Amino acid sequence: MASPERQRTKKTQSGTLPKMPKLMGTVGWILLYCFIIIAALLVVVFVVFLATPSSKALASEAPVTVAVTERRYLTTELGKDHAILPSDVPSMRSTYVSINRLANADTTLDSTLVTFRGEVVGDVLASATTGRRWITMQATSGARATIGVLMDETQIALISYYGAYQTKGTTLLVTGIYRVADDNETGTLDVTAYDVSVVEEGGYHPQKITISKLYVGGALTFVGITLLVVGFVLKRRNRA
Amino acid sequence: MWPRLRIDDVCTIVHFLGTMVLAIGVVMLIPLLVALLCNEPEPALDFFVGFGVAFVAGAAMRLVKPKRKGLTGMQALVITGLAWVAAALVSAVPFFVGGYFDTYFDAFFDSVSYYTDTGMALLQNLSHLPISFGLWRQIMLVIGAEGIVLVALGLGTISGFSGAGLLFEAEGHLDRISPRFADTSRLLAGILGAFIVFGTLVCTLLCRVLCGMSGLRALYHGFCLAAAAVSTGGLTAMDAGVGYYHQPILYAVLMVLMFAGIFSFVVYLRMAVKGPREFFRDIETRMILLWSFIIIILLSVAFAHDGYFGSIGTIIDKGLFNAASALTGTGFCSLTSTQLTGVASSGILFAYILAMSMGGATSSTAGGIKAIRMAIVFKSIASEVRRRLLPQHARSVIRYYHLGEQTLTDELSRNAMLVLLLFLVTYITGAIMGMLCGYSPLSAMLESVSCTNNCGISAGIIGEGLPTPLKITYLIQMLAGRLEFITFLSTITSLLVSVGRGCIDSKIGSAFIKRFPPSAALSVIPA
Repeated sequence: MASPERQRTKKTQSGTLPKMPKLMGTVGWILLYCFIIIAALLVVVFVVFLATPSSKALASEAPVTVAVTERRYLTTELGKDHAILPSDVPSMRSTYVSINRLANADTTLDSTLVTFRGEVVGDVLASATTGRRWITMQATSGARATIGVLMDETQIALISYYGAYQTKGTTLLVTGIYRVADDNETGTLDVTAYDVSVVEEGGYHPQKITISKLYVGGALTFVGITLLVVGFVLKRRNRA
Repeated sequence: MWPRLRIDDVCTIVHFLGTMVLAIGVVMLIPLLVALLCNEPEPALDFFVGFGVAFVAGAAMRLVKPKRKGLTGMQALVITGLAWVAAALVSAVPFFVGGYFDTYFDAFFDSVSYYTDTGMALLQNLSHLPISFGLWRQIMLVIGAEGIVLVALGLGTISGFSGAGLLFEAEGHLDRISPRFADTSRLLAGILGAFIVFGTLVCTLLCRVLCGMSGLRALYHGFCLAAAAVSTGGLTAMDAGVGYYHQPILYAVLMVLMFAGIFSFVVYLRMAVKGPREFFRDIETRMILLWSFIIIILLSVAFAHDGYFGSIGTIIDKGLFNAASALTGTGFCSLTSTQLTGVASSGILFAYILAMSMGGATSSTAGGIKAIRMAIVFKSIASEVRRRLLPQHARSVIRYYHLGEQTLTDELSRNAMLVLLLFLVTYITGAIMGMLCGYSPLSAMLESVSCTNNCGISAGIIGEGLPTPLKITYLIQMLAGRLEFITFLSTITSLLVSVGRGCIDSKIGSAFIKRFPPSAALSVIPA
């Protein structure tokens, strides 16, 4: 067997290895990785908790007074083919569609007024090019497609909940201009909202815990430990 | 005569696979812990069940003791091939138990997609996915980026056996950094980890400052983006993909991270010792840069002639970023799949197919044909042309620089051409299957190339409603592309031959052949 010295300068199929620093033992590697992880964690704490968002991103965190009359609840029953418009939509002709159809890049609707409803999910994000902010809305049935919607601060103030795990986001009815490739937003498929109203507030819905999973997991772990012990005992016996 | 697996081989393979399954189970404790910290009790239970299944399966398989302490070449190939399948099988358990898929096969399909760094998912409704499951997807990406077997070697779970080199080469790693494979694995993991940590910090900062996310959500999204970019897996935390963020500066950072993952990590180490000239002198680096230049020109022309995406801002933001994603095999796409197939011109689609076809360097996180093979193919063509032009008695030697001066040999050329041919056949086969299932030729070809090269840019075929024959086809393509075809074909052949010969040699098989000898079939044919 080659000595460590010979191994360090041995030619391999990749050519002669360059002169590398002496490789550490296992303990050295573990200490090095622990040091790197701790240093990274300290930087992350600084970035996450101390770094402040830009003033543009902070705009929605400032308190915004919204007239209560802007909050409207849908009372008209929508027809099965979504052809019936709610009575409080502007007089301009709007096409009622589903988000799934909008997400399919329907060019026949490009640069037209559309009305759709969906659940707000994710986060409020700042736009890099316009003064508005991005909201992501998800269809509540079918393929559950999503679409980005540009809104201003007063419209965003209507949103109470953002959909996530165990949280149902506010369901909105939005009327706006649909663009298959928005030049103002470098070709993004989006809707610029003109009229926003709340259909359903949403809320926190904790998931029910299935206790049987705990029993199954516990039983499997117990069996696994037993098998490991059996294997260890057999190995010791074979050696003896 | 084809060699087949004997009982000794099966015992060794099962023992090694048990060790790897056990290791995957232990790794599953990370998302379990995160689920408890993030107040996600039900996902924590899902991972507890998954851990239990992996623990029992791994411990039971480890009870089978190998007869010898060394590995043969055939054993190494089969272990490597089956390790990826076994890892995906156990990793799918939490998803299935959590009710995120209708069938276990769908969960297995997604797990294979994550491990092979393809990133095409059947999983829907990512907006409501628990953080622990999002983290588990990214962990699978990172493990797959380095290689399941290489991770096992680095962790020391496979020790006390000779033949580590066979496992190393069977997984497609051609370049060693150190004589000890465990050290090579740890060094590669260190480089990968350093890129991911750096990327996480930068992306977290951008998500917090530019996008305006809250602190912990920025950290989660930052990690997902960095891990997906460096491992060239392309998985994001939201359904909208990378288009969710709408920040060109973030996209620029992701481009840097993607390209960091595509070059050879061995070259990075050599560059650290010998200087930047070592990086640019390597033939893989030159091939990647040349190919990138050609694709960027092609895509820019295609975008400029498109009615919807013709503006300068769109060409830079959408065109350049998506070109980088396709070239690196990451799969981030700031255009939706419906924009790609319904709005963008066919020239853009074709340019993406070309961009995805080459892949990255060896010892990188990218898949594909690999830059070194493409370079060898072009060198071989140049060598043949030169040989024809020179006088008959002249001797032509082609040299190139890849981790040292290398000479082009007939064997290298033959291997490179063989792999290139296998990739092309796989592309065409996958495209034909897509067309047979009713999809358009260009979309079917894009999906086929994307799966085989583990890229992840989708024409929208993979998703809800994907036909089962296509699921099986894409599954095979993802595994074959990641495992380097020879390993994949060797695994399949060994298993088929062993099972077939096993059936014939068994008591029932022998009795059947005795009762119905093959020669009897010939007597039926009239003279």
